[in-house]
Order: sequence, then structure tokens, then C-alpha cells
Amino acid sequence: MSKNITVNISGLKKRYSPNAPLAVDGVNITCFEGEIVGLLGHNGAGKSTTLKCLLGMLPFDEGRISVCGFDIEDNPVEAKSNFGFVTDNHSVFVKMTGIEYLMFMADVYRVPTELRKQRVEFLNGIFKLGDKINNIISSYSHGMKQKICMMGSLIHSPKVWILDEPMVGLDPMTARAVLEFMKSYAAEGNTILFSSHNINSVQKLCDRAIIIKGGRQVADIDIPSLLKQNPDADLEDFYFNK
Amino acid sequence: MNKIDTKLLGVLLRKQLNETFSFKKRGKKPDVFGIVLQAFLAVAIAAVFLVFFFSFAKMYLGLSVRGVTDPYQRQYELMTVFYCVLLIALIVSAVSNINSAIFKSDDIKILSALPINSQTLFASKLATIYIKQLVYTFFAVLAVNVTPAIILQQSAWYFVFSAISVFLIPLVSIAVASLFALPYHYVRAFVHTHFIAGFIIITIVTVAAILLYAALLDALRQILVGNELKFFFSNAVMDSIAAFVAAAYPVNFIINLLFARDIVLSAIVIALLIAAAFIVAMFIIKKLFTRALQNKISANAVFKQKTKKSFKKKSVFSALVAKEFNNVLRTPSYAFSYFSVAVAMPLMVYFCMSIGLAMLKTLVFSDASFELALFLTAIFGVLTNTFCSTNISRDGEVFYSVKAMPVYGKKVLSAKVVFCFVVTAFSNLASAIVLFATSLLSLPQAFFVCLVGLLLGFAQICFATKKDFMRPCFSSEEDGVIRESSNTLSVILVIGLVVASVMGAALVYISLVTNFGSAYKSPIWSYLISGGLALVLALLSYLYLIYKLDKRYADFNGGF
Repeated sequence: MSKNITVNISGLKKRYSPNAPLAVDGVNITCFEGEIVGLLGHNGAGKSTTLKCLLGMLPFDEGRISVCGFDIEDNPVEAKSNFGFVTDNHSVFVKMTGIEYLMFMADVYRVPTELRKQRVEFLNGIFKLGDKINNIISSYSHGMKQKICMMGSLIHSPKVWILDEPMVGLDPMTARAVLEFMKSYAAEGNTILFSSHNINSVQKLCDRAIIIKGGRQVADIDIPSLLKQNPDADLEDFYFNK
Repeated sequence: MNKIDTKLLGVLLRKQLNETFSFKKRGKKPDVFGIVLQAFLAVAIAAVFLVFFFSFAKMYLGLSVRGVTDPYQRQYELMTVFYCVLLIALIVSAVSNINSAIFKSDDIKILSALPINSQTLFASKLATIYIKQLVYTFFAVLAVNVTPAIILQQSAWYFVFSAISVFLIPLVSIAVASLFALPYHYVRAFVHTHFIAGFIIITIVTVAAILLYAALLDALRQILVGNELKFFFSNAVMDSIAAFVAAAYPVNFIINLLFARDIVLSAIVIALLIAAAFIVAMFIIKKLFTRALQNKISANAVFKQKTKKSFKKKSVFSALVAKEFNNVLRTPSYAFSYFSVAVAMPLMVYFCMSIGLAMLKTLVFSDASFELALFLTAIFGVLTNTFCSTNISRDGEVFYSVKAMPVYGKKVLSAKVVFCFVVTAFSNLASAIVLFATSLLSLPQAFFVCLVGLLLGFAQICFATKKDFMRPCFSSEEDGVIRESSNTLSVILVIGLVVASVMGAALVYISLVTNFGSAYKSPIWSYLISGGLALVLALLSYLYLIYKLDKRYADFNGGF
């Protein structure tokens, strides 16, 4: 049975000002249900810009973006209802407590009252904020802010989970727990799309890796196929040769 | 002990002064509109102050106590009180500046890792604060010390020491302020982590400030309306002033120097005081500095007040409005400016109404209370309703996160408008109630004034919100609090003041012409002009707010 497309980016072009070079130049990404896709690229390659366009944070010049069949420009609210996101700078309402932030996100994503407590306890079990969830976010460390952002992005069990550099700032225990959670979350039929510098974690975790260089998409690698052809294949070699 | 490196001190001072006065280096366009407006307002305030102070000084210097008129003793008292007020104001500002320089400035963490000894770093921070205070002191002393000299003849020494005091007062202020820097830091940290307690403290400070302001306005009203203030200074009050002046240490040593009394003793006491305070100051600041770097107290502050856990579902709109309240209630500076609006406007309208009506009755023998109330409500509505000018900028980068949430732009901005309108509605309602309760307006008039105020307030909020949305200026501070904004504030102030002045002046003029020589009655024109204009402005501003809003929201990419 063929899997449904959850994220579809076609011919995406974005420049930050009329005379600036293209920050994203014709990127095409298609993600399917149950898939984990990693975006790889060096600093300034266009990964974050691509994700920000996908999230509706930034306007773009050309191309189409849809999430679960909803166009981000024509049906922004419907498209956004289907994903949860974590930004690279952990932008969060720092004057709220962790629990207030989660309830705010639950209100915005219209999570029913009866599910909230259960969701919070489940997510706190994974991200292990413990009682700190009642503290104001401005008192959180970098890693704790990362955790509360992830919890907020999952409060409505989105079909698509989009993360920009999710592992930065996480302690090794949590990073491992997050990787395990990502696998199980995708196994439930959800899509995960994330950007990373960490080639090894992308190789271990992802079904596909998309390499972006200078705003252009230079490779779309099916990792299981790559490893099937050559069990000793190294994504890092692939990355540096591209 | 490390010595201050004068070469490095020069480098650091140049850097700090550049940061303070250069717009280009901060990558922002100078707000020319705002600068001109600020300069204009500063000149206007200075001019009004000088007129009032001159009248007051003339009256005060001529006062007789138990039948004896001694203008030079009165001047001694006046100067003592002025230098006390100036010193207290400078100390309060210096306490805050020292804390900001040590705990909040971005550069201290970088500079402390560079090969610069701590003494040089402290000296550069203190020198920058000193230079700023020098500028304020210069203008204050120039205005206040010269005014009595116009009324009474002064010695050459008076002018020489007035000039010296410009340099001396900030020195005393910084020395004393550094003694309070540490306690202030703890109070601040407490307020930042105990929101309920913080809110109570802010409310008390706001009420105290407003009461002081009201007392000042009342005194001004008495000066303007008649000679009532003269009777306030009875023998008993003058005895209290004399007792205060005699005990006003160490200011009276400075005043002794100003009036060439006990010069040697006063000079020695002042010199010793400054030296002692500076030794203690350097010790305390060094301790503070070490603490700031080692513990990063402010960065790791933990919110102690646990909130009630509620999993109850709210509508998206309610959640957005609640988010705005959260942000403001838990940021002391925002809470102060948001809630002071509610208290300041009714007081300002009431006192200015009393003054204005008295003047109209005295000068043109006419009453135009309804029109004057509309005029003042419009003017003070514009002046106090300024919190909306940072409706988008306050969010900072989080605005982009909200953009990625499944909410239409109209809803996001409407929540901000509603949030600001709550306090505007409260202040207009309170103003109308005060005017009705003090019999300055009838009930229908008060209701109509409130309605016009609400419409104008709504217009201002819609316009300011869209303007800030079109050109936001996100905070670059570590705590995310806005300390410099785009030109939205200046633009809404200028437009608002022009509209309010034109409308108010037209209403008062029409009323005076209509009622000249007859019993007062509100002309129908007053209702039509004010109501019609307010309604049109509210509609136009609302249309401006929602015009292509969802498209512009999707295309939004500003703020940096």
C-alpha cells in the first residue's frame, strides 16, 4: 500500500532582499507518512530558511509548499494545525511557566481538556523536566528551553514534526531519549523532518537524507538502500563528496 | 593592588560613549521624528517649569516669617530643598545605572574575559554614568540657580560655586548610590522572581508616584488660580522647613559652600565624605561584580510563585490575550507603564480641568466645561495610551513562532488591541466618573466624553499596532525587554496631539463664541464634531489595521 504524502515542497526559491542572492534555490522535498527525513548542510546552506518557509514563518518568492494536502499560503491555518515545530533559537514565551506554555500551546492547537493532563505527563516522562515544569521559562537553561519547546510542539500529537537543529544543547541522556522517541513517533505513522549538522545521527535515524549546499538541493539519499548496496557506506563520505 | 590603566580606560570610555550616542553603529536608522519631538517636549517642559519656578521663587523669597522678611534665608532654604531633590533623583538613577552596567550589560561578560583589570572596568562604567549625570545636573543647576539670581542680587562666588556644584553633585550621587547598589540588586531579584509581591510593590510605587504628582499639580493649580499657596506657608510650615534644612546633611554643607558660609569646614566634610564613600563604593562594586560573574544571579533567577495548574481549555483568542497579560504582569517595567496609564489619565484630566475652567472663568468669564473635558480627555488619552506602540516589538523573535502557529494574523493582532483597550477603557471610564463625581460634568456629558475617549483610544491602538507591525523593532537585550523602539511612539504622539489639539481648540472656540454673554449650554456642534470625528477616526484606524492584514502577516519578515 502506498504511503500518503505529508510534506511537499516544490521549486522553493527564497531571497532575503531583492538584490540578495537566492538563499534557497529550487528545493524540492517530499516526505511520506512514517518517514524520518534529515536535512544536512553546512552553516548558511539554506536548511533553516527552507524550514522557516515550510513553517510559514518566512514568505518565499517561488514554489509551492503543502502540509498534509493543505497549501501553506492558501490554507495557512489548516496546514499549520498539522505540524508541530521547534526552532533553532528556542523562541518561547519566557515569562510563562513551563506548564503555562504547554497549556497555551494546547489552547492554540485546540487540544481537548480531558487529554491535556495525560499528554503533559507523557511528554514530561520523555523529556524529564520534572517539577521544573512549574518554574518560569526565563530561569531555564538552554537545554531546558529546548525540552519545553519540544514538549510544546508535541502537545497536539502532530502528524508532522519539524525540528531545526534539535539535538543542540541536549544532554546525552535526553538526546538519546529524543532519538528513541523520534523512532517510535515515526513508527506510529507520523513524519519527522529535521535539520542537523550531525551526520552520524542522521545516518542512524533517518530513512532519507537531503543535502543542501548554497541553497541548492544536491542529493536526496535513501539511507536503507544505500546501506543495502554497501553495508560499509558512510553518509559522511557522501556528504563531503557532494 | 592593580592600578587603573588610563590608556585602556580611554579606550573603554570611547567605546561606551560611541554606543550611547551612535545610531549607525547599532545598525538602526535614527528616529529623527522622535528626536525632534523629544527636543520640542524637553524645551516646552523646561519653559513651563521656568515660568512656574520663577513665579514660585518670587512668591517664596518674599515670604515673611513672624513679620520678618529675609529673602536670602528663603533662598538658602529653597536651594537646600532643590539640591536635596536633585541629589535624591541622581542617586536613584545612579543606583539603577550601576546595577544595569554590572548585571545587565552585554559587554561586561566579554570585557571581563579580556586582559583588563577590574578597577579599570569599574572606573570606565562609573565614568560613563558620571558623564550622563553631569549633563542632567548642568541643565538643572542652570535653571534653578539662575532663577533666584534674577530676583535677588548674588555674589560672584555664588555663580562660581554653582558651576563647581555641577561637577560635585554627580560625584556625591555616584558615591552614595554605590552603597545602595547591592540592596537594590536583591530587591530587584526578589521582584523578578516573586510576581505577586512584585506586583504589589509596583502598585505601591505607582500610587505613591501618582499621589506625589497630584500634589504637585495641585500646588501648580493654586499658583495659577490665585495666591492661595502663599497662605500655605504659615509660621508652623516655615518652622518645619527650617528644621528640615538644618538637618539636611550632607546637602547643607554644599549649600554652605554655595552661600560662602563655613567654607573650610564644609569643604573638608564634603571631600572626606566623597573619599570615604568612594572607598566603600569601590569595595562594594567589586563584590557585586565578582558575584555577578560567578553566580549570574540575574540569569538564573527562579520563579518562586507557583501558579495554579489548570488544564481547562480556553479559546485561542482568550489564550492570546492571557499571554499578553502574562508578559506584562511579569515584566516590572511593562507592568508599570501599562497600569500607570489607568491611574495617570483620570488625575491629569481632573487637575487640568480644574485649572482650565478656573482660567476660562477668570480670563473670558465663560464656562466651557464639556468642551474642555473633551479636549483634555483627547490630549491625555494620546499621552497616556502609548503602550500600544510596542504591541508587536514586545514579542521579539517569538512573534515568528506565533506566526508558525495555526492562527490567523487578524486574531493575533486583535488580541493585542483588546489587551491594550482594556486599560484604555478603564482609564476613560475612571476619568468620566471623576469628572461626574466632582460635578464638573453632568451624567450625559460624562458618558459622552467617555464614549469619545474610548473611540479615540481605539483609533490610537489600532493605528499604533499596525504601524508597529509594519516596522517593528525587536529587543536585542538579553531579557527581551524593549528599551528603544522604532518611531511608532513619536508618530502616534505627534498625530494624536495634532488631532486632539485641533479638535479641542475648535470645540472650546465654538463654545466660547456661542455662549459669549449668555448662560452656558453645550452647543450641538460640540457633540457632532467630537462624536463624528472620533467615530471616523476609529473606523479609519480599524480599516487601516485590517487592510490586507492576513496577506501582510504571511509576508512579515521584519523586526531585526
